[in-house]
Amino acid sequence: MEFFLYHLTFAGISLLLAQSLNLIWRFDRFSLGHQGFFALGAYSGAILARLWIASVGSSRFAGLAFLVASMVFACAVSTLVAWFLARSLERAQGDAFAVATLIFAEIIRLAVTNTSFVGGGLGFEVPYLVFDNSKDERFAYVALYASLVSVLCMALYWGLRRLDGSVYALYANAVRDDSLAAELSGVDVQRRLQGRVFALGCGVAGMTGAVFLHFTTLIVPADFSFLNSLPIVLSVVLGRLDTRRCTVMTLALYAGLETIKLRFFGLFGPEVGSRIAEWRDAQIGLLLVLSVTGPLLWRRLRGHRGPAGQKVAT
Amino acid sequence: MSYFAAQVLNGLCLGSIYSLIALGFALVYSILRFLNFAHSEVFTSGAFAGYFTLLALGPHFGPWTRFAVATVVAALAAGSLAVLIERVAYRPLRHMPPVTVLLTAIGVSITLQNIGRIAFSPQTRGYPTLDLPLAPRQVGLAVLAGSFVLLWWLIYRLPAGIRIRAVAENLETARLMGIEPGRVIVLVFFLGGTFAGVAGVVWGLVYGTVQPEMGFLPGLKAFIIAVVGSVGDLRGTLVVGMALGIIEALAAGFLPSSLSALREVIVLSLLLLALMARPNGLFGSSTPVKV
Repeated sequence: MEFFLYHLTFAGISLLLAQSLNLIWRFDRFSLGHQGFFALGAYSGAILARLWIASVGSSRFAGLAFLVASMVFACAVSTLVAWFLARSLERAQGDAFAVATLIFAEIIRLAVTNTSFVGGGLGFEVPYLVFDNSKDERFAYVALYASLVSVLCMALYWGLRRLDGSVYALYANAVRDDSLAAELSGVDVQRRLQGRVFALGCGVAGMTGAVFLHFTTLIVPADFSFLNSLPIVLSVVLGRLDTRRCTVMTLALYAGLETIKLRFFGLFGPEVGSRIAEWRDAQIGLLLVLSVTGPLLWRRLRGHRGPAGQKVAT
Repeated sequence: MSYFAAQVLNGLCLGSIYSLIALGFALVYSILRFLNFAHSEVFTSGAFAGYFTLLALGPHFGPWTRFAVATVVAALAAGSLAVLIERVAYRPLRHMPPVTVLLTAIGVSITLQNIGRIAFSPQTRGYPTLDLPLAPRQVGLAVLAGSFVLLWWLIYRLPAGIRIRAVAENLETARLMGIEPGRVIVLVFFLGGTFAGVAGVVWGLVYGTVQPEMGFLPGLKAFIIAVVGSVGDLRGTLVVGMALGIIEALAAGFLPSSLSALREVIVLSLLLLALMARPNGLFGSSTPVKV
């Protein structure tokens, strides 16, 4: 049961990240730096823990209050930084924005690697809050985080589904179709829409970071590398910017990757299991390539040659 | 040589490596308008090709011969890899939005990194040392300077370079003039890959180690150098790359040790600031991008 809840929590964390990234991408801001805000949230929580966790003591109520406080603090820090970043990068379009966010995430990762206040490259460890990981309390500890993450996921999903039916969905479509035309029809694309959506999405990522910190109780900078964030990017790509599809794809991808990581394919012989696990990154990479080129190749196999008058291959 | 001069030389060498990688990005970007993320892995593959050539040649040959053969092999290997990537991954995606191709390029890059980790093991390996009569940095700088001159001559003087510039200016018009864009694109990938391969060998020689993931940070920096620097011609990329290399070397050499560990952070922050100030360095500029 603990095993199941443990994975439910991690799947929920992936889902929160994927949904918030999906939201940003829907507004035509192709951020590749989501792991940076996840790290920013986790390390804001770490700073808070470093300063005040000693005063929490062993009281359950104080622990819970501290957990909520660090989530709020992480969310606020990430939102503010994201808003500032979005404002300063207003003029960077498309792939320039993608690269700028990627650089931002690398800056955060390298900065925490070299800051001994938050543990440096060896990582930062926090004591268990509310419940500890002893035999009696393990179930309560995992169940607390599983339910917390589930509630957050459901709240986010509810919010995004409401958004789907609102005027903002129309804005998102208008911006993706033609940002200039959207601007001309009165949508304040840059400042109002993209900046706010980016700040909101990154705020969710930051809050998730704080949850991640207190759930795993040990974070290392490598957790927030670009490589580790690729499954999130991949599930957004596979989700084709649709909220429901993104949910399904994130959960499926999480299940698939965990199956590989746990050497489940060892059923076909231990050699096969570890071999498949070894090639995990290549599988993610190839899946990314295929998810982009696949539909195109499929169409070509069935004889379509792209829009009339336009040669597909040069 | 004084400490300061040594740091500046160091910075020039580092800057030339960055610029040479960045030129590969800029060449591809000028024609296809997308960022070839897998270029970092092409650079890594060049370093590894040089490493294995140096090992294979052994001590029977003179240091200069070994160095020259390793550089040529690395250049050819990296160039071929770049052409292969273009053929397999990017050619089916012509006329797709740049972000789509960027995602594919990231996928290719990660796949290649994983293949490298498995084929060559993720450990850092020491590069074979050559007993050249000059310091590795001086040799590296000379080779890199030679590469720039060669590239310059190729692009501004040779017919192939004129074709590249014509396609970069306007692909459709160039096609009307009888230029085959497909072949020019292959040439551009080959050239970018070749020079990235040379940069890889010099990197191995100067910094002494190779590792399958070594391309990520230099690649990321070269990326932004291409974005920020290439306002009109090769010069922008060169100047920005050199400036960055010198800043990084001086930061490493002169800041107190607690801060010099943060030199990567400083350099990346400077690049981010430059991108904030000049997002149209290369992207979204209304004037045609020239190489």
